[in-house]
Amino acid sequence: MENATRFNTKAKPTWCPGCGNFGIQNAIKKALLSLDLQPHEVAISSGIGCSGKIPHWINVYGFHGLHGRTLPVATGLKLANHKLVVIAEGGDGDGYSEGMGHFIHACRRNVDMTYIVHNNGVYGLTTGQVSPTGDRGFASSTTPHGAIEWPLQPLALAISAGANFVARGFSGDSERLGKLISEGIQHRGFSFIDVLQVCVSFNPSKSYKWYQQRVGNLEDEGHDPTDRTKALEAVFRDDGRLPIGVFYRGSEPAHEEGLPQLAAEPLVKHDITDVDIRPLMEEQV
Amino acid sequence: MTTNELSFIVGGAAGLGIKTAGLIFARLCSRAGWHVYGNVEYPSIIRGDHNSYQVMVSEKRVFGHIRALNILLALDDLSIELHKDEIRPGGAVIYDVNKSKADRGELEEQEVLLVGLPFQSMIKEVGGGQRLLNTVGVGATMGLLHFDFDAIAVTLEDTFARHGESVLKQNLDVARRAYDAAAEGFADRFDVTLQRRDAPKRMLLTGNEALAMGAIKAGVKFYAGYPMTPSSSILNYMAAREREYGLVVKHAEDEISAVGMALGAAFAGLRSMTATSGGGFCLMCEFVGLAGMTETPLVIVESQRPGPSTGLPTRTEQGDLKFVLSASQDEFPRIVIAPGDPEESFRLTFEAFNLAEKYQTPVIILMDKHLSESTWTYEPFNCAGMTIDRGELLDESALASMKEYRRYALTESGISPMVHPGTPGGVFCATSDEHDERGDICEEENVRSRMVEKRLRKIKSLDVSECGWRLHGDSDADLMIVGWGSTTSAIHGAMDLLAEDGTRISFLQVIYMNPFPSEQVADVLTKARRAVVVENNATAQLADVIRENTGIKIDDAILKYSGRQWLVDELADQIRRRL
Repeated sequence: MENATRFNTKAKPTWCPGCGNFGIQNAIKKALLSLDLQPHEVAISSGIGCSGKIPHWINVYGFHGLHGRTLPVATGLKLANHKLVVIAEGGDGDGYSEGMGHFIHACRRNVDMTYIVHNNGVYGLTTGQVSPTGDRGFASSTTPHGAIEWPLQPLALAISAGANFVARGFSGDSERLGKLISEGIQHRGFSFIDVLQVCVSFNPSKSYKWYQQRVGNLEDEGHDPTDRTKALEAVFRDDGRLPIGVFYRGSEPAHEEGLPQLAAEPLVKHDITDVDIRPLMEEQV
Repeated sequence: MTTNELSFIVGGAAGLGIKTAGLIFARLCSRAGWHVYGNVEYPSIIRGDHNSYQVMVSEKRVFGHIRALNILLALDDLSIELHKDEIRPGGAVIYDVNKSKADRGELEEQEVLLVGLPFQSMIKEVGGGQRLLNTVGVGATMGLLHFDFDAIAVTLEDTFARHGESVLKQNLDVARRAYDAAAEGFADRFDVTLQRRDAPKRMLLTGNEALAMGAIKAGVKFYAGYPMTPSSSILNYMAAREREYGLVVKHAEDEISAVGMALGAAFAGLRSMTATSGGGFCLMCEFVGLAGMTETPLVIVESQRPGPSTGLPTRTEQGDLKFVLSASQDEFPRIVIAPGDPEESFRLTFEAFNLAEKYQTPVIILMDKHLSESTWTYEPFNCAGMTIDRGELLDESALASMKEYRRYALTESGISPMVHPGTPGGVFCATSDEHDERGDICEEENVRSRMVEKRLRKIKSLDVSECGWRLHGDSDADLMIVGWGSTTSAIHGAMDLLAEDGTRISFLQVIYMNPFPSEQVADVLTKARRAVVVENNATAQLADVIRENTGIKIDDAILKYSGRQWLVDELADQIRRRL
């Protein structure tokens, strides 16, 4: 289909003007167009929060579920119909707080899907509480004297948990983010993309300008994404820069490759009209 | 003398293979044409303490145990201590003379035959270890009963062949030695023998095995779970057969993930299931509501065990009925079904998948440890007439002829035709937020009210007037027992026992807890002379559910909440006191 607007919806997003989610929404559409996909070939699962609403505004099959629970739903969806391109969307509160357990296990399970986390360091939809990636000292309604906890480092967690595609993008550069998402979709296995995102309403000090002064392209620095140790070094470097791009890319087989049940066709295509259970009954005799 | 009934128990420390011994005995009897009921009792530990497996064998259908053992196979002295008072005069205790230090004077006074055999020496003679102890015991038991040894050999082969030839040979050799020693040294002083009976071929199976078979018959293609007694055996069963039946089974990181994966697979268009116990179901609750809100077909098994909290992890209780009926926030339709035996577990699980897809809502199957893990004998299930109904589902060509597809279209029945992701022309977004007919988030008052009504309207067309309940016996009997779930078994047993005294009892079994067969239950209860509920809980939850649905208050209740199911004679005694 030539129609470049096929992923647009009639409904209009309700995000704040200037929200970083617009950039992520654009990037996903660009990625889907670049891969020549049709709306019915894609499914997006999401959690709850500002990020969670995104499947309503991209014209693909969507499942806007529960806070923190996008990954289990996406996993079931993908294994049920592995011909679908499956994207899981989460927020930093949603995915790194409530849904952290699922994140670690999704990394090691390596089901072929792309997990995009909208990371702005703050809870938007509940009006500005600090998130797990919020800076130490960040004052918010739940941390009026400043956050005491350390922010967690999602890229390092993903790498150490066994993820085979670990990347960081920036919502203010949807061109490059779209390419990253497209690479993530093409990667066979679990692809994780943490997206630095501006929250104009509740974390305005980290503005577009603030990020633009700090982001830089990893690739331009000659980073070798096949080296896990170097990838961790890049995550933890402390020079005030925020590199974006692919930090780590491994080549472990996707989860689906361990499931011969999926070899012939997706499970949804299996005929279930008359399953013969006589052998099961014979086993019990 | 040949017997028409035999009660056997094997006891010993956890780790000695007590359950295996009990199951081998049960299978031997089942294969020899006997009806069997067996149940395992074990603490939540892996080694030590006391495990037991008790088997009731009869020429008639068996519904439970009575407190009168014919044979105690004691693999340690604690088993003698705990079960000696349950042995009937003329019964036997089989024990290891090499090891036992138990005082057996009392047993001799009770005219119990003491079958002391050198188990340890026999094990040494075949060059094996303690893993053979349960086989020695079973061999001795069968020798005492003059059971056909060739049949024993076949069953031992089925059980141990997968462990390799030398293990199998040791088991066969040691069983033979124990068999001969018991047959030659003691059988002439024991007046019960167990011979093959002419009977149709029967399965020996647990409620969980039957339930899993029902799910596979229904075409379950995705199963996710997290181990939790007494639901774990469903996960194990499914995993062992995933390749043979082309389904995907996932051991998830927790119950939330298990139900989430199952829901994702169901949304994609698969028949999908998860199972857990009460604690795991607590974690799943938010997803139950999500399935209700997004109208996703999902089958969840909740096999109850005593609580609250960890409670008694390996024992039985029916304490979660009201919890399951109201789990998750706010109001949405759910179907809750409580099978009473393995055959009902099989048929109702099959049906659960049809209902989930027809009504696009969660279906919960309520089991408990007693039903999940005990074994009963059944002839192979007749599958004639079991047909798959996938509900209102649109494909590409149906969509092509529509002007606009609205996933949550307001229809008279409340049921809106579904589309599976991947179908061209049907793109929509499901959401946990309130939504309009298209699935877009919507907070308008009018839309909200119409959607609440639409969802609740869906199961109004589910007619449970026939399938929702069963009346066993005559409604004008002296007393009507009202019960549900696994207690069904002991109630049937008690009815048989009481019938021997000429006492006529009827039994109203409630199967559908939601929607509830209100009119029919009210009608039957109104006609009953007297009614009493029998439940494995402390507050008579079914009585509350009946009152809520019919306005009828049942004042009398026979309740047990010790974590154990009823013995048949124990329940019969309680019922007698009401007459």
